[in-house]
Amino acid sequence: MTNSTDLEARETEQASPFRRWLGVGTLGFILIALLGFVTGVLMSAAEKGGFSMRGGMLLMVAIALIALCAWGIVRLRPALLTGEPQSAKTRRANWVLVACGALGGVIGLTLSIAGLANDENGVFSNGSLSPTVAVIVVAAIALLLPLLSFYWYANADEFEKRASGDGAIIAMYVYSIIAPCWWLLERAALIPPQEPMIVYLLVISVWGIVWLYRKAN
Amino acid sequence: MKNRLKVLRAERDWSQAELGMHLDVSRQAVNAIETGKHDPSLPLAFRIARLFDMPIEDIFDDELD
Repeated sequence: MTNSTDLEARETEQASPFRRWLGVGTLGFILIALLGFVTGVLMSAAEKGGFSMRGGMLLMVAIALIALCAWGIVRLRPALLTGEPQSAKTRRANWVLVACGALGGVIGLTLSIAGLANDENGVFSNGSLSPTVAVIVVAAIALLLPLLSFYWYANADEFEKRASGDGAIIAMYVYSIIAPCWWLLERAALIPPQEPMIVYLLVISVWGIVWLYRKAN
Repeated sequence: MKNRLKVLRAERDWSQAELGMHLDVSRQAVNAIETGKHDPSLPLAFRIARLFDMPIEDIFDDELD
């Protein structure tokens, strides 16, 4: 039988995910920077019609570091691979969140690479896009995301759903303020035209921040 | 809402994660219930009561009395 000190120690380990999330966040930033670097190298190669020796080596190093960061994120992510006991439903719900993140990453990378052909940079560029790429990405967003969301909702516990729901409500309030205010100020020529992706990023960020805050507090 | 979940869990030598597994919820959910930050739904409260083989009112206290 485990004594109370062991139990407390296990709980302390399980109840202190801050360091793990800090690690995940740091590796996530590095991963995004590396993806940007890879995009830049690919863009340069597209312009010059091939890779230089140095460019090729840098690309390989960057890809290796991306793999390392991805491995670190999976290792550090609490509860998935740490041996913490989880019910099958909780595990499924957590993996759906990982799948959503991976889907976002793939879509971002696809848009970055697709922008190379038009000398565009940035995932949220408003430049022209190949119809094929647009249809594929829209299909991924419009078909996969609802399926993943439905599956997550069917498996997440009530505490997680409440945290997500609180985030969604506050994000909706933020949207209902930002969209009309920007529209009015734009009409008065006080600010530039409305950027739908900026509004989207603000709303989605508020949702995520409130969701995590409600989970942690 | 106050509750005796932490005490009942400690009596069985379960971690929060282990209790979460028994209740089909996450460790974070157990922690939120134990610390009074989340009041469980009626179905979850019944699951908790069944797991510990106790009436709900012996586990949860609405502090109205």
